Amino acid sequence: MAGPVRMLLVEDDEAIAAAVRDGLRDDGYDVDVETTGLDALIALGRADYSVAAVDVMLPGMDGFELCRRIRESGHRLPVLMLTARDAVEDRVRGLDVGADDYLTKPFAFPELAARLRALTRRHEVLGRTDLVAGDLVLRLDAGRVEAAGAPVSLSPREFQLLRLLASRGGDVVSRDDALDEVWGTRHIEQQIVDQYIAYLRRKLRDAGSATAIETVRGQGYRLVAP
Amino acid sequence: MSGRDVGERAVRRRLVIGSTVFATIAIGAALLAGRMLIASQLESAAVSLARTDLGAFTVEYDERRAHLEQPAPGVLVGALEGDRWLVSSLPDEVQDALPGRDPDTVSVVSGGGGTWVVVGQQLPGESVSGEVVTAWAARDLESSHEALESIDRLFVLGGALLVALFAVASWFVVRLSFRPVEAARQRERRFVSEAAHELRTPLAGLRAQLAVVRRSLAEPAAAAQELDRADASAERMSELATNLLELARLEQGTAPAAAPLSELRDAFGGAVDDVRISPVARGVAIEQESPAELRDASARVDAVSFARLVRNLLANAAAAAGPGSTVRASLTVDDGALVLVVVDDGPGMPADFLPRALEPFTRGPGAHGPGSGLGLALVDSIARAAGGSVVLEDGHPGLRVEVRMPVG
Repeated sequence: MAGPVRMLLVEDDEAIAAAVRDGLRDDGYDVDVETTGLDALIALGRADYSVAAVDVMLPGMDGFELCRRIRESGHRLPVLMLTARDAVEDRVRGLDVGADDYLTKPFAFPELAARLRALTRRHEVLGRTDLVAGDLVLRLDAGRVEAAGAPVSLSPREFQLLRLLASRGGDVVSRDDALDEVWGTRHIEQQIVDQYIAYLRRKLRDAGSATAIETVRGQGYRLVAP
Repeated sequence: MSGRDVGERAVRRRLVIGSTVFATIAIGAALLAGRMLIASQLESAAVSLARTDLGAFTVEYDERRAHLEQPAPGVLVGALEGDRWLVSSLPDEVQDALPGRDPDTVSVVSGGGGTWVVVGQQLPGESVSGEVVTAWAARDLESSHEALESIDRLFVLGGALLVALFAVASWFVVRLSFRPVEAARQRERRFVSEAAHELRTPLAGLRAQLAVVRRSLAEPAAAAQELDRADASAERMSELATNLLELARLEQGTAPAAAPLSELRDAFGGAVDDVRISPVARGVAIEQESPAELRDASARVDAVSFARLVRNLLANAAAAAGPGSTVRASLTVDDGALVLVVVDDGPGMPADFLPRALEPFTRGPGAHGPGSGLGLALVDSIARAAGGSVVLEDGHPGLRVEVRMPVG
């Protein structure tokens, strides 16, 4: 990843805050932790963050209120809400006050990393629409793929991995690159990349696509258009 | 027997006693009002009979003023001049009480051995001696009193019987209406104790694993392996807590939210991705298939619950089938229903366990890996809350689970 991503974590539980900060540091994040909504607003005024994760249950100003104020003050940074409750009303309310995504505690660390990655990515992707590689057309805004003219159903991570391969225009994508770009963490075993390549190959073959994913021994994978 | 049972019994007793006291007051008041009504009816009947006697007597007096005969003893009438009785068949007690009374008001005279109601009337003209003459008629109230007494006896006995009947009936009603409460209470108790038991198992594991880590800090490889196991224990507890919360939420029976099919498809894909990186799916291939095109409709389930349902089914299948196996998940829409099918190529489920597999805290024989026996129960609850159904069957090999939810 190019340069650390500055992230603001608003969490009053020290154990969780420390674990998330240390874990994300390995994944190229520079994490500032604040324990109250007020401190978070002050921190946002001082520095330029790329993404924020906000616990809903904060002392004093709660996460919803904080998120609302962040939006009111005109900040556009993506906000991920963290909560121990996954009642639908909470989720809807979180999205209503301007949060971009929602994660329920207890969460597995890789899940958090992947959500954050998707959020920072989503903002980078804005403005681009289609990506073409061989007989594949990736509709970036809708997250859909067409192979040889027919739609293919991919899961979100399958789509992101295919997008990564397509965006390299035939150059090799290493497993570490894939972990960074798709899952946003190296706290996952590398075999998951191989497994996802297998899923993608099967999907492309079933769709009758002539575009293939080639294994480059010792290096990674690359997309080969006919 | 727990303290809460005693509390419930006390509540039941209070309900029965309270309603019986209330019923006693209501029945007593009604009977008392009835008795007063009957008493006044009896008295007014006596008064009107007395008036009839008086009418006949005054006519007779007019006709035979000078030659009044002593009235027949059965009819209680008399003519009074000043304080002297010209003629009278009235009892002595009445004769003594009447002089000086206003003839126009109804009097009740009691004394000796009886009670009488008396009416009077001033006669026209004057007597020989020039004094006012009044005619009086009386009726014995003895028979009315006897009637009233027997009515009193009837009312007291009948009222007591009614109250007793009411008490018994309310006891039955209270008992009947508490029966579902009691059943729910028992279910809840069983649920809590089973949940606690399920929590203790991974907790015990976690503590043992942490102790091993402490001892093996000198060997990073061994420590790392033990930490992986500790992680799996923690994951098991997390899943349990999440499932318990979700079940509790569904038990509350809040109206299910609806989500468009496209959102549910995205939730399905996200859930597949989540399970693929979870420890339970290590070495398991999870294939997914979902429609690329969807019509503009929705199902009565929210995306979070649907994702939980998918995760539970996939984690269940992956845990049952084990490393090296393949789990296939497909989401389709057929006429009127969203259909999720999850098939694994593991050992499957014994036929005699299939009917019980959806109950909370049941685990198939030989079940291993993380799992509390809540996963499928929650799948069932979510599907039913959405008006849908879950069918388990032998997939030859493995297990085949089909969830259908109506689409509107």
